[in-house]
Amino acid sequence: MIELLPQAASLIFTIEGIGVLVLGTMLGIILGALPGIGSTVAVAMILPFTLTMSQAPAILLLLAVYAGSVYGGSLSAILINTPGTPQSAATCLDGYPMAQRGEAGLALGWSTVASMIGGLTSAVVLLLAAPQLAALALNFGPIETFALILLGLTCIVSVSEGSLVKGLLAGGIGLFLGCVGGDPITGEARFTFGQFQLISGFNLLAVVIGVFALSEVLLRAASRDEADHGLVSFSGIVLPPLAAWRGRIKGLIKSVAIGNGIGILPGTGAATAAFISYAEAQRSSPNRKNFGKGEPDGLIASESANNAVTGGALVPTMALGIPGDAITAVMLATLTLHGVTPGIRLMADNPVLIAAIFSGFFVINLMLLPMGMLVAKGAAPLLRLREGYMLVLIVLLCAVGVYFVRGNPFDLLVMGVAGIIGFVLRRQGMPMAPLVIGMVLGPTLEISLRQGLIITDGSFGEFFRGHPIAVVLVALAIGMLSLPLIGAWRKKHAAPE
Amino acid sequence: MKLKAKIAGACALLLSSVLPAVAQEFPERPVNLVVPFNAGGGTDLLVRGFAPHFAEALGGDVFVSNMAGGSGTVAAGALAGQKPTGYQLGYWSVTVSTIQPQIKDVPYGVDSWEPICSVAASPTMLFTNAGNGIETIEQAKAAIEAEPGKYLFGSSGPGAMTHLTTVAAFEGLGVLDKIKHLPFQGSGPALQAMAAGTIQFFGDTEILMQRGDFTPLVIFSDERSANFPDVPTATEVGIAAPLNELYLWGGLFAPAETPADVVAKLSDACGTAVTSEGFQSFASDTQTVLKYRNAEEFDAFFRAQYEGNTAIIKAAGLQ
Amino acid sequence: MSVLTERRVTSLVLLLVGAALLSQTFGQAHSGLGAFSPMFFPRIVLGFWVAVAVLDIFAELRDHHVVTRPRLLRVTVIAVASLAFLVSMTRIGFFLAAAPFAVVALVTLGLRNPLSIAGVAVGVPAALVALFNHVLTLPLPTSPFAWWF
Repeated sequence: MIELLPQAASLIFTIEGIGVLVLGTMLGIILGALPGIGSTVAVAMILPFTLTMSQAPAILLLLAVYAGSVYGGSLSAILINTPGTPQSAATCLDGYPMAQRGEAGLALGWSTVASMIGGLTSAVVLLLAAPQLAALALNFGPIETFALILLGLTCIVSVSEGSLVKGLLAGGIGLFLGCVGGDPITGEARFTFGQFQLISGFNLLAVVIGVFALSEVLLRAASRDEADHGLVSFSGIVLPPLAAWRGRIKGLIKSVAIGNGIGILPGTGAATAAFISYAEAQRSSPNRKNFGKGEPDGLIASESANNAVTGGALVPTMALGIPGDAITAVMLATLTLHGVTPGIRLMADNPVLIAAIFSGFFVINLMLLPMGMLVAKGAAPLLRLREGYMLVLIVLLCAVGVYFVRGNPFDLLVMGVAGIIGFVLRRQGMPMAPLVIGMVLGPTLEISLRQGLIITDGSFGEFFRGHPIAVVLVALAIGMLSLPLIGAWRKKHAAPE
Repeated sequence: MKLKAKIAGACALLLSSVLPAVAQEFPERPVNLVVPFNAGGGTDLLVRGFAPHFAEALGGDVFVSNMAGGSGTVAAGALAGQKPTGYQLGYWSVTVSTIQPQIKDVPYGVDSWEPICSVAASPTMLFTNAGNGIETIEQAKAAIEAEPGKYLFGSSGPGAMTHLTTVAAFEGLGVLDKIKHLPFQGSGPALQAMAAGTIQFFGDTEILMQRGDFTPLVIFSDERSANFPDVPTATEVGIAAPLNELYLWGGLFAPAETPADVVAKLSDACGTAVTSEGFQSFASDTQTVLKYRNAEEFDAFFRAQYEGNTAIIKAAGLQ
Repeated sequence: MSVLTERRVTSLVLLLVGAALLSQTFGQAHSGLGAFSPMFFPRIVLGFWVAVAVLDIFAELRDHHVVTRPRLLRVTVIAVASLAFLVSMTRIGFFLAAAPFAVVALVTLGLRNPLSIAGVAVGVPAALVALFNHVLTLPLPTSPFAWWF
């Protein structure tokens, strides 16, 4: 792959190529930063424009918008506490408290650098080892996926700041919401109560936007402290000084590794990576006591991991011709339109094109920093709008975003109801992140569990036999669950009451 | 100046839309093609590639919109309840129009539509992983009979064409009760499981089969494939009708009771678009197998398919 | 001090909803038994929900949390207006649903300058419709009166 770089460069560094990279990254950041408009919608909006372009620029444009929008989601998560997508939900946990403290610029500085590093490392991994990693990912069958998702669910414990019971309850509600609709194995309708619209279940994004963004609007409307000024004070990104990175590098490396690793596996995705990475940082960071109160380590963990996924997801896509998620599926389809057959021979048949895509992806991630600063600078005046205007804008944009996910009128109703229920639950002190984790992971957990049981003929005893990776992951999950409980128990008994 | 012209145009358009009875040629406003899946999927790209040629043949504007959910049934359910003006058409596949209404409680059926034209149709194939010792359908049958319950076939979901293809094959061969079904959420994860060897059989179109390292076993068509002349048709290996022919087809549908002259106009334009040079080259780029049927032929074909697929749905245990 | 605080009522409702859903999983005929039943996984999840909800009620009964009273009228108006906007936008079109919603919401939220209220309420939805329906041809829902907005 490396030896093809000069040829690849001649494909990227054309006027069309550079224009596409710059504009695409910028557009992606802006779209991602708009509350309610996530990566999927951003890519769908840009898709028609790629039809008239040549191969490499078309794919690079999609990639730039994809990477830009994943990063852009952190802007609205930090500045107005409304993640546009599930993958930035973990970013809110520490980003928004920092912004409230008046450190919005610095919070964005941390998230921008972390995003860039996450993305860059995943680009390097792609260039060096995509085929080998894709082969490795094939070892991940339903039983391993089940174990990984189980590990992911333990994150609920670490994001339930304040009340573990309420966090677990939110997680249970999220898991249930994921069950509604057609059964993944038999196709039978579950919990639809005769409503045809429910047959496809609740749309994840509609629920996420409802419980985070719309409920935030309602909470502010219900709040008694009158805010005549803007929401948070922000005038642009402030980069953290190098010395401030001391003690955070180890966590960064770990998060990047988690993001890359999870990105490669099919069907897991950026939200899972961000949450697992956040939970791991919260367990091992030297600053773990400040998590949830505006700790940069939390921001670094979620943002570097979710951006590392963007590269990881390209591994199975490009090496096996099998898309890792909805967005990489769009990329493969776009390749088909340009006469390139996706499939197992994609890399072998089009080595220069693939090298151009991978190195273009590296350039895109380099541009996250300058473009991010530019967009943040431009967005700063918007944050000085009076609160009322801001809240109305958020509702309008969220409606647009949810509508474009699949053009389904029912999703809008779901968003509205989820917003009102989210408002009631948040007033009760229930954290919403576990609900999102439950809903993201629930369907994958169920289908992998039941697939595994079909393979073992319904035997739980046989389930993990011959699956050492799965056993290790389950052991990790049990460890993650019991350590904080043991810790709490010890503390309780060490200190005499 | 420009603004004035635009306002004048807008007023004219407003007038024309409030006064639909004005004797004007169809189409007097843009025609909407509804794709029942997300933007960027195979169906979406086909329709987006088709739209400009259709617009040209129709002499008006055509735009594409997506409404996804419920394996396409949400969009079909929504369109079935719309006024039959001919301005909103759906691109339904074989599953959306003939299979889903028979396995799910959906607000539309065989009589909800005025079929306009069929656009594409590819026969499906059954295939297995390369290098697992199974080279022919006879060997597959023998292997399954030798070790009942050992082999797994995958699908992109219950009731999907990928599911029904394999059911048709193994039901036709009489070994369906000796092999297990492992559904996945979409073709991507299923193909990954094929590559990993978790599942041994999968059924899809020839194009998809060629993407991986797979051995084709049988083709569900009335004739052998030009690219794989050694692969027998289902009829040749003893799979009886109606399980022997399965096509992944799609075409345009309008809500029932769309005026006959509008249907005729749309159907003709569709034919012109399908045979247009631009769309033909689009199809060869994307390896799409085109198959045009006009409104009358398509109506007969659609109803025959609706009846014929009942047998497979029963065999798959989906009813 | 009332026994039925907002938090306690919410906890109780959550428990009841969970229990009602759990009871739904029994009684109906479904294909497959045990691990192969479509209700296998939901039963585990709902069982967990009910168990945690019981713990939550105990926690709420033990502690007495004081929550600030919400501005009930304000939040009700915004919630109802949002819901009305979301439901009606696919029926009467994005613009016709968004403009009245914006006016109601802005006035409720205490904004009084009629010029800027009208500007935002008409300008923002109009700009969004112009952008999506006419520049990007990625149409937002339109009204039944005219195809172009």
